[in-house]
Amino acid sequence: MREEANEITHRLLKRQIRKLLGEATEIPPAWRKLLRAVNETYEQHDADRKLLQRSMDISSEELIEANDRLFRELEKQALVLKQLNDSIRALELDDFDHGLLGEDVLSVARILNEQIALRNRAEKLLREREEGLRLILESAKDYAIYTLDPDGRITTWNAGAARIQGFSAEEVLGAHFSRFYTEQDVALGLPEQLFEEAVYAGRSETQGWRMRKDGTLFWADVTLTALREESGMLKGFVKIARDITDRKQAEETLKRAKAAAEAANRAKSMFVAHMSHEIRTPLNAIIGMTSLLLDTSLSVEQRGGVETIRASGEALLAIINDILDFSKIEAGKLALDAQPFDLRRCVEETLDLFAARAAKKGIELAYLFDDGMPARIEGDVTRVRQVLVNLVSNAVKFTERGEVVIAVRGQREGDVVRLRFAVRDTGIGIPKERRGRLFKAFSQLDPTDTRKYGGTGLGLAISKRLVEAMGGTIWVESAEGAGATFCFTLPARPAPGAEAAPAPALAGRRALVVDDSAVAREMLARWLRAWGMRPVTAATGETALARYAEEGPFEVALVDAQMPEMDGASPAKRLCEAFGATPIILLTSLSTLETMKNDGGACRHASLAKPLKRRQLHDALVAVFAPKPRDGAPPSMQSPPPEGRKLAERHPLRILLAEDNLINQQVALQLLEHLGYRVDAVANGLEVIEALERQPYDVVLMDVQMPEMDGLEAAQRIRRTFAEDRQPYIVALTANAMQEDRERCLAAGMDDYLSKPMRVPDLTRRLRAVSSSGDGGRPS
Amino acid sequence: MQIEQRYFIPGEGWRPSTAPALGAAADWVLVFGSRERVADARLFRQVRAWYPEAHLMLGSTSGEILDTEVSDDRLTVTAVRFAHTRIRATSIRIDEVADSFAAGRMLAERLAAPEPALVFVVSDGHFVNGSALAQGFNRRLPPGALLTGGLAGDGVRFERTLVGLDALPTEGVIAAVGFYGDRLRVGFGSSGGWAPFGPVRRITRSEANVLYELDGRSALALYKRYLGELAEGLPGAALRFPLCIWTPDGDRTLVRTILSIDEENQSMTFAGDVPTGARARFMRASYEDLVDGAAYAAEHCVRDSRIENAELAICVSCWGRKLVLGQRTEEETEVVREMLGTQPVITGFYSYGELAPPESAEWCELHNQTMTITIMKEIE
Repeated sequence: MREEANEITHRLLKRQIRKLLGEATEIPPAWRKLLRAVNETYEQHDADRKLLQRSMDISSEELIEANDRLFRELEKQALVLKQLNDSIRALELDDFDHGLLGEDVLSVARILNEQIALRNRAEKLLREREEGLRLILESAKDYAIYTLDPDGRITTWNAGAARIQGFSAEEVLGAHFSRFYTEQDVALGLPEQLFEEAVYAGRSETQGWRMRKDGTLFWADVTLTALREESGMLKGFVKIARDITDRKQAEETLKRAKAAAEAANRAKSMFVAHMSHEIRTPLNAIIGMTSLLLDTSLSVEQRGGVETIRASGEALLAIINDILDFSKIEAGKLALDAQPFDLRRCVEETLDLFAARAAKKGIELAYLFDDGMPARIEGDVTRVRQVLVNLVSNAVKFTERGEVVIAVRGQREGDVVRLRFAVRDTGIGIPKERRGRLFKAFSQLDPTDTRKYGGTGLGLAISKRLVEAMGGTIWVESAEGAGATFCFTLPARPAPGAEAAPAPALAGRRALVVDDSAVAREMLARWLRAWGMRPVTAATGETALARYAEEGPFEVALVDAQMPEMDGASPAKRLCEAFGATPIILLTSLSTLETMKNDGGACRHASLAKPLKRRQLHDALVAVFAPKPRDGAPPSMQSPPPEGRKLAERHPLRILLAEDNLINQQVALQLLEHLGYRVDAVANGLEVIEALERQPYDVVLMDVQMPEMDGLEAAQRIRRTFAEDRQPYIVALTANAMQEDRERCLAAGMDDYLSKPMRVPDLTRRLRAVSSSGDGGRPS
Repeated sequence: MQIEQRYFIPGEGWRPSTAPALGAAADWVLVFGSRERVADARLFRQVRAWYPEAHLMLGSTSGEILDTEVSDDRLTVTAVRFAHTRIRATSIRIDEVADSFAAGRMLAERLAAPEPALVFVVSDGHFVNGSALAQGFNRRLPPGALLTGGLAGDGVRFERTLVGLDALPTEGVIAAVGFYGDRLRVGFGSSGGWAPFGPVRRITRSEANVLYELDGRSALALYKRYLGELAEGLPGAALRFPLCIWTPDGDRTLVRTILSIDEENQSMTFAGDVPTGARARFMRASYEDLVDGAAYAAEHCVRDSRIENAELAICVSCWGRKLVLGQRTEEETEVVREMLGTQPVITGFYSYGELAPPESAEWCELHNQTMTITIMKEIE
């Protein structure tokens, strides 16, 4: 049994064997084998149970440890999280939503990573910029760039500063910036002024002399800019200085040169003006004296010579006037008026000036206005007319046959009308290569032109300057041999005042227009249509007859008196015969007027001189349709010239015209000539007095505004110095229609006044009054 | 299919001692025994003499299974003659553990065409890396071919395992047999019954199948702590706590069992790879759990293959199970018999690792701590 006891190791089994089988019991070998197996099973079972128990205990310990670790980690994590959140807050992110801060370490880490990346980028950029700035500072050799502390002591100093001012950085760092100023400037307190301005305004700029290290001075262009912290606290200043001594000197030189040039120009203009005056005075004497000579009895030969002298004198005067005008413009003395004026009248008067010359050459003068043009515009009528006169003058000069037409169009642009004037001729035209020089002073197309056509060559140059001064442009369109068209534009403000409404009597009337000039036909047809009439046009006498046969009779016929002959007689005459009772208005030119008197015969109701004026034609037509007077004689609408010439015969007067503007002068002279007067013209008050001293005048037509001596002063002098019997009747010519202007004229001793531009009826009324008031002297 | 079995008990001789019926007609003979028995030249010559035409496939074990009996120092012989199925057998011997993958690939190449219905492998279980071997086979075997088998055992000694094909078994040998023909039906089932417990750990230091640290601490020390006084039984004792490892993709787990320990390096060698970074957890099981596991494997074997009354069943069960089951080991072979019915002839061995596809997969993997069953049947 001892053996078994050794074999059986499990205590429970031992006990069971002892209790159940007894200690001394003999156990058979087979049973003993079984008991050994049972023992092993007991042992294994116990071991299994123990191992399981143990593994459970240990793993539970491990889990508790893990749990503890987790708790500690969580606490640590919470702490870390708090610190990270604090860090994020400390970053003071502008665009960061602090609600995003939270429990999650990962999200906080992400935010931090982003911020770190952002800051790294920003820092990198900053470093690059700083490096860039440093390079700029170092390479800005022409700029002294340095910084100052809030007290004005130098804190940095670039290479440019060293180069310009001559100090090295070591020499000036810590020094006050006023050490670069001259003693005088320091005494004046200039450094403090600059400093204070920069402090209060943020920045100050100045120029002045500064001292280099070697004591020499340079002219510096200085900018001082205050640097402030975000809080507004002053951090210091940046000062940038440039040595512009050279520029300064160049500017000074330039300034002196400019002043000299301007002085020279002024002297030249004064010289020209003076010379003009000096030449005009004797010239006026020549013209005046030749006029007197012509009134005496002269042989035919002598008269021819005197006429030539007078014509040459007048041509010379025109040239002088041009030069004077041009030099006035050059000297910048051109003053522009802005008065309302009648555009149509301006054009009509311009054409009127050339009526005689055109008639002599057989050139048709006409104008076309686009529909819808304003009747009146604001502007300088004198200057507009001057340009037109220049252009028409050239056109007439260079045209041997055909026509000269002024076409005016208007385009509204807001409250401004852009007027486009075109002066078209059928003359010799202008070669392309010459057009560029056309508007330059003293540039006629060919030196020989001057001989052939006369003139100064200043007309276009003056026109160009006038047009440009009025805000327009001028140019030429031409084909050589096919005429030229000079155009200019003019921005103008429409002025109140409409054209007079057409008379109702004209409405619906059928009219036949007979004229060989297409332009004239068009112009007339347009006018008639505008008045409500129904025009039919014909270009020849034959056509007119055919029209009459087909569409007649007409209520009125407008017939050009200068058409090619029909069957050896004038078409006008033939038509008069053919039309029978149809009233005819003959359109004549000055040269044909006299012949027409006879030619027109009984059927003529009126004759109107070309170039036609619209109002005149209107009134003539109204007269045609007016109820007939009892005596049956047709009311005759006469052009002024025939009657005018009679005026001079009835009321002979010696007239002196004082007008500085060439065009106005020409207009007035033409008007007076039409009335039959021979008139002397001068350009200013001094010339008036000189003329009066030479010979007595009955009437002085005196422009108020003139150079040298104006009309008012001239009138006062005349009244003061001339004897009673040589006192002329003085009529003021004034563009200023204001009452007080008139009073000033009367106060200066003038007798009457006329508004410019002069009108024939006003003029004739005055002249009749002067003439009838006495025998050519001043009315008492 | 005709099958006959016999076994040799030291000191007693062969049972039955009569001459075998199949003799030269046998195609394939499975011979399992302790290292001493399979290496016994006298016994080998005897078996060869009985079955001169058959491929003899020999492997050392940690226990032999014959029908429901489990023995520790016998030599079991199962001879099979197929009616319709052809077999091809091949083997390779490697000297470096690193050649495990290449060996598997080469063997697969030899057997891959025509497509085999089954490849059954018995490999050295101590020297060869079973995981790499399985991957090598996977590389070359057609997807439809089933691969099963196991790693030879060495009792509880972990010294040397021996495998042979038509020759006396030696170390480092891998033997494989391919089965061809459309009359053969095969099925398999594999299950452990182990349950993970305790904290999830992370493998922080390892090389291939050598484990150094879990959670930064010595793995060996951890095992010793759990085993307590049983630690003296290392490495065998460690089989009580196999390691459950998550695959890198994280959605499957593998069971790894320990092969050897190295006190000097504080390392433990496992029967398959233990990759660094993988999560791992200790497992444990009661004998009831393991028996249930074996029943589950057999049930799946029948159910998945739909083979009723299989003719042959080869059980490869992990020796760790036998360690836990102790005197109750035969309860798992009995439950297998219950599940498979009375028809199939059962043979097999306790191994250092089992080869079979993971559940419902088409590739093969090394398993530990499972009961892996392969069944066969030829149809008329």
